[in-house]
Amino acid sequence: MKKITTKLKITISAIALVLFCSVLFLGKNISYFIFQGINIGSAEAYVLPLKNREMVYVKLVFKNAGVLHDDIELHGISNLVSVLLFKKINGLSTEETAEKIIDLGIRELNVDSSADDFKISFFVRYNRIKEAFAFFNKAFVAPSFSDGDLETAKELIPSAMDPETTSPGQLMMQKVFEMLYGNCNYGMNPAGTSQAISGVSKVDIQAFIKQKLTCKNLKIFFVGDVSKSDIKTYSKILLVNVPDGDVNTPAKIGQGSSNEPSATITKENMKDVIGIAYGIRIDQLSDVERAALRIIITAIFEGNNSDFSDGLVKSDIACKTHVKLVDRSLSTSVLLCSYIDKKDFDNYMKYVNSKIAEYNSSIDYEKLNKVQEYFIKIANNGFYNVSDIDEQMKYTYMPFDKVTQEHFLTIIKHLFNRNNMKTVICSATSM
Amino acid sequence: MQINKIFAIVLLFSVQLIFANEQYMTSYEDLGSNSTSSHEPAIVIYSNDCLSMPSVIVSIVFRVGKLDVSIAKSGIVEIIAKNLINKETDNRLMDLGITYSVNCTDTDTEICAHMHPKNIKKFFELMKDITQSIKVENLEICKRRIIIEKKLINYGKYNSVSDNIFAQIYPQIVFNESTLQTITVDDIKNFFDEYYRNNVALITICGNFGKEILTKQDFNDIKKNFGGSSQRTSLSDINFLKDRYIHIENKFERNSVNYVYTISDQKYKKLAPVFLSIFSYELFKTFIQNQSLLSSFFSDFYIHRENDIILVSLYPKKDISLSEVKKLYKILVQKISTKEISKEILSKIAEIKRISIDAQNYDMYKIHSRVKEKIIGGISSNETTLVRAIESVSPKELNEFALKILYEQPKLEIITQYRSDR
Repeated sequence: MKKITTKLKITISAIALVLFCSVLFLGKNISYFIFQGINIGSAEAYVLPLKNREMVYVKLVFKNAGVLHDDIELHGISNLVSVLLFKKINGLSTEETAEKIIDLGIRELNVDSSADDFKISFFVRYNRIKEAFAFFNKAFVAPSFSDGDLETAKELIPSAMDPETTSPGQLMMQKVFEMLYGNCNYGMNPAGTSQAISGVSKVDIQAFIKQKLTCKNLKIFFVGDVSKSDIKTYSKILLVNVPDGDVNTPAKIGQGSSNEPSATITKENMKDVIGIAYGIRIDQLSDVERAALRIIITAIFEGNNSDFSDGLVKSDIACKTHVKLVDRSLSTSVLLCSYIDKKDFDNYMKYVNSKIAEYNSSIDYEKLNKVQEYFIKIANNGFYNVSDIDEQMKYTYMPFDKVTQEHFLTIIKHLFNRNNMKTVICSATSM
Repeated sequence: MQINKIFAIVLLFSVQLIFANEQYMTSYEDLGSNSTSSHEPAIVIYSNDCLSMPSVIVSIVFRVGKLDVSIAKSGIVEIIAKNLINKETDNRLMDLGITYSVNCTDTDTEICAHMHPKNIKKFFELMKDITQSIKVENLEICKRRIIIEKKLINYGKYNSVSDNIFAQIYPQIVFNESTLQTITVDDIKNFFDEYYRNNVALITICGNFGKEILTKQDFNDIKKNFGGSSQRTSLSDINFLKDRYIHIENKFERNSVNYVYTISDQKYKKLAPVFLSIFSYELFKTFIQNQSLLSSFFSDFYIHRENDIILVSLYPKKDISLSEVKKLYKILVQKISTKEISKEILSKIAEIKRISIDAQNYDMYKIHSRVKEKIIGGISSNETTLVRAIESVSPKELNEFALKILYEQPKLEIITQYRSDR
């Protein structure tokens, strides 16, 4: 009896010790786990597990199936697919499909084809995932939209930017892309080309779904109370009869026009405000170089205490500035859009020229290192939402700690090279 | 005996550690406001394993916004918001890896920051001084920046219309260069002293952390340092123009028909969020059902609720006349107002709302907004209460609401009409 009691005590102590350790390392240290590379045939899955959740967030990302990689003759077809894919599923009418999606407890269904990849995301109740995936599977293997649906979808896609209702920022940005990339997907209106869209047939749409929305190009992200084995089961249901396919070929990108360094746009309602956009492109950046670029943009341009903003204040120039880093799979572009009072135009242009010269001749490494530290720290903050989790994963976990002075120097030399820059001015009257 | 001692120590230690690691309660409804006096801010903590990330959103809310300003000094709140966090504090926040934004709305000014839990105390240390005084740097540049931003808002699809509409109702939210130019540094300091100084109404801390991060003493320190009042004076009655119909012709807007409704009756205030959930669903369904019919009329529609106002905006297609749009809208509203909404439909809508709320738990900013809304209140209601309200409302009450509020003449009808001079 005594021996058994001692054994029991040792066992209980051991269990208590295990509990203590698990509380210490798992309870107190709140950490996250992302399992990578769960293979589902030729597709891949990623999961962020959260216990005791009613809802599961799902994101499907088909690589190089977005509008930036459409065939030129069918430029905009992916946008049509985004409208038609879940319109009518499994022989149901539009209304019945919409009701069924609601009945399955699916919320915030979003289809986005506007960039490199074709993305589908939604929330679904964890106990309805199997049904939801079985239902969506039909959309991939047997799309059932009609010719009439296709014609209606074509009307929904704007064939061109309406200058009257498009913001000056968007107009300037589109013009800069045209100048940087020329007549290829990267330089064209991401809505599509009107001639191409009008020529798309039902057969083209079906071929697109069969050839581009395939397993070899697919990553699935799950966030919720799901295990590895759950994911394998659900994914298999979703991908029944979905072809493996070939790897999607990225589009070719053009060189842009070297003899057009600047352009002007007139927009009547600008009144006495002038918009100026500078754009530059950098191709084939490595991950570390991307991280360096991000640090440089933040240090120089972002926030009210950035170097650029500080200088504007000292020069008595009131300006609203916005920097956009457009990081696409084949090329990265940086756009600096500013809005100034008409009377400040000449001073602003002189200021920018002086800043470009300054950045080319000396680099404030101390500031760059400070911002580098900042990015390393905010990576520890983790995510605050799940939307764009694929993008968040990419940017939050960039190798900021591996960036060196050499990387900063390389990027800055390219970023502030006048020969690489394109300028667009938007005003009420021609300048 | 040794084994007994070791066993007892290990067991005691483990049990204590397990319980010491308890999280805060996972529902702000349990905590509620823990303000003990009218001079202390309400502090609301919402802690759960949202995303299992070491991630916290902290906000400091002043119950003062654009509506608190006299027309002559419109723009003062925007200037204050831009100067609330000075350069030195900004640098120190960056050193800690804290990202933040400062926003001013019609009713509030809020500092909202995202950080690692270990930095919560340091954040409040840095924020301690901001409620004591304001330093305005480069006032003229600040004003000019605000003017440019204001002009640029007019290019947005919805902002311009709703800006125009709310400007009719609350003229103090509109400012122009000449009113802004009259504002001096003394005006700003006086306004700050009257409305912001020691007047934090609400602090929210939402995220994933345990009681070892913030102790009872820490809370008391925060309350002491951020003295404030959680009460605000009610908004003044809305004074509409004599005309109930406004026609704006301009070169820069698409055509739109906008109806403005106000809700003053307490009974209807509670029903408003319920009704809007149902109205949106019915309008959406009608769009789906009659897609070929309605999509040939409208390119878009928009329902927005702010304070006691409901705004419905309809954007007709280019070749559709505004009078046709008005006729169609009247038919739609009549249909929805007189339709018997079955219990089945109400359950469905409640379920949709419930799922939406669950989905929001994946976005910390949305959780944070919900937490804030519960305390600040107004016409917005707690969303779980909303789900229950949808389920239990009677169809008769809904029809009464629709007839009283929507079907009877709206308080204001605003037409914007594009007119080209070319």
